Amino acid sequence: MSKKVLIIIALVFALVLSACTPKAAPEPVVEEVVEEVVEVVEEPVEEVAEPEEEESLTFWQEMRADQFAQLVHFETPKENYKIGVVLNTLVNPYWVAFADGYKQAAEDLNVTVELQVPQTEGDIAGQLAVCESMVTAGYDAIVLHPITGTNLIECIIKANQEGVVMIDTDGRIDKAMVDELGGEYFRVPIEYFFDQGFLGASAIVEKLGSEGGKVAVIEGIAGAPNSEGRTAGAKAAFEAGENIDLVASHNADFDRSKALSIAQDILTAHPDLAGVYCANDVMCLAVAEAVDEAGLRGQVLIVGNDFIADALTAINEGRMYGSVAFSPFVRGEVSLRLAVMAIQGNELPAEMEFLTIVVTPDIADLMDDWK
Amino acid sequence: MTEKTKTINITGMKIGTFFKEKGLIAAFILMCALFSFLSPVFLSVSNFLNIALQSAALIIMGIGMSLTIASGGIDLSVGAVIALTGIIMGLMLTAGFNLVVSILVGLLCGVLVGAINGFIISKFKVTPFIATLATYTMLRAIALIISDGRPIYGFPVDFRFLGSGKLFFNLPTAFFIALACIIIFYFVIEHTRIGRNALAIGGNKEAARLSGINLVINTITFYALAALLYSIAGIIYTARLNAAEPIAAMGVELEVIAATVLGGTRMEGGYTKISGTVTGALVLAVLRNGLTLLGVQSYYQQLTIGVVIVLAVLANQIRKK
Repeated sequence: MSKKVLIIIALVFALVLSACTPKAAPEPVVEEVVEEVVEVVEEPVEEVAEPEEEESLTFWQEMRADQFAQLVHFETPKENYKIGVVLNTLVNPYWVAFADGYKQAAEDLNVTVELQVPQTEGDIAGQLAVCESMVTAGYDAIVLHPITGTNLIECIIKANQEGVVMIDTDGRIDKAMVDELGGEYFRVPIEYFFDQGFLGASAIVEKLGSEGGKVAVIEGIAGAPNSEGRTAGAKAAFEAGENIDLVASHNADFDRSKALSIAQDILTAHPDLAGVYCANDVMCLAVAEAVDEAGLRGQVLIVGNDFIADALTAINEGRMYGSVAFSPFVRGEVSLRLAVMAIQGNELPAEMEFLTIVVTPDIADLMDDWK
Repeated sequence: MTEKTKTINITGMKIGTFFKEKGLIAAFILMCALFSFLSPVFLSVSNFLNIALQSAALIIMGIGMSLTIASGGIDLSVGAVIALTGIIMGLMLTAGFNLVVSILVGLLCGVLVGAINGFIISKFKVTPFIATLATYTMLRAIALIISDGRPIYGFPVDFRFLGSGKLFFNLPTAFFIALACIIIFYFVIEHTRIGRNALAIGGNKEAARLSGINLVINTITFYALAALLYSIAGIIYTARLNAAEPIAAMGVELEVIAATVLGGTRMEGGYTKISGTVTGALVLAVLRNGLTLLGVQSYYQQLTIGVVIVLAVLANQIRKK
């Protein structure tokens, strides 16, 4: 535990140092980090797939450096900007890590960040109301993570009238509709839900091999882009697999208890189930419970999405087979930096290549510091 | 006793009931004063527009809920009706029907659903809670089925006009729709036979029946009118999002009931005050808006709203004694 704390302190120390230098280009950050980490790390760092530095970084650190490197035109903010963020929820560990990333970046860049969520993960009108109130509150920019592709468009229109910079750092918002309404906002597509689902399900297909088997999909909230995209991707992967039989695909609204009931029912109907892909880890953990209850641990390959800390534990314990990871913490840090760039008028990248991988037991030991 | 209560409800002039509303209105003004002191932007035109937009749908739904609760029942199908209306309007539009026809069909569906609610409750004597819960479940499912779980776009860009588009005095259309509903239904509920019947049935169902009030026809009317109001709110929802979502208005039922109860409507039935419901809805909308302006985390917002509701109900209880 203390080792991790030391690493984190070292990273923060390094970041603060890098923030003080006039032009914070990503390379210096990496070098500072390396120096501190090498001093502090007690265990030998694992071999990373593509070692770029002489001293090896952890997988997460490398990924993070890669992401920052894509922000070519980033400039350290000269003022204390006030940036608002509209998230989906703060109940899910994935979103909590996302929020932490924002807060960390705000600390590092010396700007103020305010995070707001609607009452529930599905409250689309509530999210719109929150967004509109934030526009009135007078932020320099607001980062939007809408629940659906359209529910915050009205807010963008309002923000344009008030001169608040709006930015979409997922790519979720329906650009065609905003254009039709004459709205303006910045857009940097980062998240590709279809790919996530495809990757996750493919891991199951690969592991099952030519024998194949019965599989199921546990979806999220019907109509929400993340759920729909991941489900479509998973189904595509399953369809492409040999002897793969998709026996069930149900909505569990990203809710633990709903997923548990659905999983229990699927297992009752198909006790020879071989694989399950869930649209998020929270649901997958519930599925793992159901599988354990039925005494089928090891038979059912469970792959989730988000790679929250509990998922890593589950993978290490053999309760889950894998999870699709794309660091929410780093996404938060990147998103805040993008917002700063938008406010300052720096050129934004057209899109970001954000590392998305399926973490399976064979690479799980690389992921200890992932967040 | 029932006669006296009916007179009080209809004229609304007695000090007791009047005072209740004054208490809520005073609290509302106090709250606004507090927010304008704490946040420099609370009193801005932009924020007023926010509040008008955000409270419009809640006010309209609250009026419908008031009617059903006053008649001794409750209606849990609010959100489902909103979602279904939106989806049906969307489907009709994409099928090529013009906007007016699509809206009318959507409203008609709402009325039909309400009538079914009322019928099940009065003819088959099912508890309103259960009956509307069942309807809610089925309608949510139907909305998801006919839309295939996907939001429906393709509303003409001008459809937004019904939500945030400006009408007179630069105020949003939704504001005027809410205003119209308030005026019309204030009249219907507090000054016509329909309203009187609702309060009578809510106050004492047996006595009402014995005095010649047809329970079935009246109950169907109440729930149908309520569902009409939810459908109208559904139009505003859809216009604000410019898309029909099958998951629209999830969980809105509790907020609507809260607004109604805050306004002084008694859960047991027999009493309601439209002005109270409207104030209750405004209180909730302003609370959320003000707290968001102050950057208060949404979970603390929820806590605050819960406390406010409890305090309001307690205050009502004390004054009742």
